[in-house]
Amino acid sequence: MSVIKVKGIQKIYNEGSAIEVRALNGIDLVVEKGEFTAVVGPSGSGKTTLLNIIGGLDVATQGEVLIDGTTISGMSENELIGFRLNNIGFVFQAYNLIPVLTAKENVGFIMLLQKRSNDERENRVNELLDEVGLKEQKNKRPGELSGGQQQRVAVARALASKPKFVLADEPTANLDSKSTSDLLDIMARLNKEEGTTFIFSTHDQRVIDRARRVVTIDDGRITSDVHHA
Amino acid sequence: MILKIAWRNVWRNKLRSGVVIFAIMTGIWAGIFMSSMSIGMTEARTEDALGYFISHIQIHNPEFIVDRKVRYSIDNVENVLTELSANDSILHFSKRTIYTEGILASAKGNKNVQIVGIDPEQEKLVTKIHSSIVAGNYFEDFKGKPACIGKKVAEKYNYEIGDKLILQFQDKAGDIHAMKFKVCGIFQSVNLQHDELTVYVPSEVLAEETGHAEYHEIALNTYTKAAAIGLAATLQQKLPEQKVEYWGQISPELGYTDEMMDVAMYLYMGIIMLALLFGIINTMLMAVLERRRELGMLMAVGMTKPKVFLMIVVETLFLALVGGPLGILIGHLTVQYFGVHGIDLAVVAEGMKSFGMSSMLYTKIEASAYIDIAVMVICTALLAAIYPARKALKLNPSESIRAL
Repeated sequence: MSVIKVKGIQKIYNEGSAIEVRALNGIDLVVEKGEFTAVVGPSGSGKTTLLNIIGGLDVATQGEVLIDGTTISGMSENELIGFRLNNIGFVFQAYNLIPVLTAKENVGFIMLLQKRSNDERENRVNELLDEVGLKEQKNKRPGELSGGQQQRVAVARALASKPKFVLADEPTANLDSKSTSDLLDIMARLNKEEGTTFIFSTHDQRVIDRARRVVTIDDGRITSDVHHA
Repeated sequence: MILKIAWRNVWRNKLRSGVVIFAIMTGIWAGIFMSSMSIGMTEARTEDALGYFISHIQIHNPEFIVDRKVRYSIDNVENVLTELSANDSILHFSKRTIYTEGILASAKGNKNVQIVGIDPEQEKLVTKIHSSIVAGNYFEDFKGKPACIGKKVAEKYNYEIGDKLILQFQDKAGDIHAMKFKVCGIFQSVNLQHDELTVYVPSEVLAEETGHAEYHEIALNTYTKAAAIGLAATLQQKLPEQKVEYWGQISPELGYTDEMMDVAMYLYMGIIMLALLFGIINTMLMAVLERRRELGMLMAVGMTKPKVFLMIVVETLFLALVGGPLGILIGHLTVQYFGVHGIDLAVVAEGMKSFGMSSMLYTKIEASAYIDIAVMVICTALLAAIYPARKALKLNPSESIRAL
């Protein structure tokens, strides 16, 4: 069952001007539920643009994006915000936690936006912080956590609302080897145990090595799509 | 959660928030203090004017109002006095004989003066001239014909207590009188003009000289200056042949100044709020631009635009709600302190007296003004929040997330 279906996506910046840039040039991609996919390619290849369009943060110039059967391509900005809230988890390169909230509050934040009950939120937050190994640090603010710990909080936050998939834009780019390894272990376990679909953009070989599917993009086109056992 | 995030964001950059809070606090304190000084000054001026010579209400022959000639004395004065005596709202009254075109003749020259004949005991209950005597006494233990003159006149014409004084005036019948008085007291009120122009003498002495008692003015006091407005209207109905006026009609500039000071307070606060408005906008704009990545993330993960807008507005309000009450509290304490102990402006005493003001200034402000100021602070904060909040809404999540 496909969670993400991308059909003929094109993204052109500054269309019609002298500095027109074709970031994506006819991308077709289908991601099935439970996949652990890495989108790789050199800088400027279009990885982030593709993830932004799949995540509803950017709009394609042409083509269609279906998430779990729902077309998001024609949605208004407000509809997209609501869609992202309930369907997509995000992990960013620079963690992007809310610095004034504790780890626990950060993880529960999206559920709060979803108006989930206190009990449900409390249980889910504790469960996730336990899974990412930060139960003891739950009352610490991001500034009191290491980069690896912050990114684990970000993963827990992305998963808190039980999204249809998690988009991670270069999640290990700012992490050392140990933190990268720990984070990948956690995400792989969550993928396996909870069946969470993960899509990464990365050029980190350590991530590529752990992915079960590697989609390579160059000059806005998919140049290879390899599934590993 | 929005409240929690907004509150914590306020303290994220303690120095910056502290500076804005301090600016709000200082601005409000300054506004309250300046307003209270203006109001206190005006109130004191009004109270002094009423206390030293105007009183709450005056009754005249209507013609006397237009042309202050001696012939326009109050008709049927006994009826008027009977009416006043029967009115419970009147605390005290004093009848006055006024020769506006009097002349004080001295060896050093003549001076136009207003000779005011009073019943010293009655006048004592209505005005404070008796308490402003700086030399001699207020018509006590005198022999002959006593007079109280202003300090300025005494200095200019070298009068001392016991000195003889010639006063000339024309009575109702047109007869000219030149009377010899003795200076029994020298007064110094807060109004230089009044002190230079007025000579007080007992009205009975004038009556003896002219052969008839005539009164041009009856001054009276009620419980408060505000109560005088209604009482004047009531008395006017009962005494249709006379002109009954309350203090604001007698001296319109006093009433206007009172009203003007109310407006001035809003003017002061308005200017201060305008300055604060730009200060707050600047701070919040910096806060928004510094947090582009965070705001972008919030919108990316599903925080709606109205919530982002609300968060910035609440954050701005918190800044104002910390600084505002502190400013109001410090302002209130300052007003209370100087309301009791006063501010001594002795260095400009002469100048103040020429405007009919005391050199001791007591700050004063209406309690309702604090509510008005609080509302102004909230409105300023709300206005200041709009631009930064709109700026936040215009951020593109995908670009902002990657912003450095």
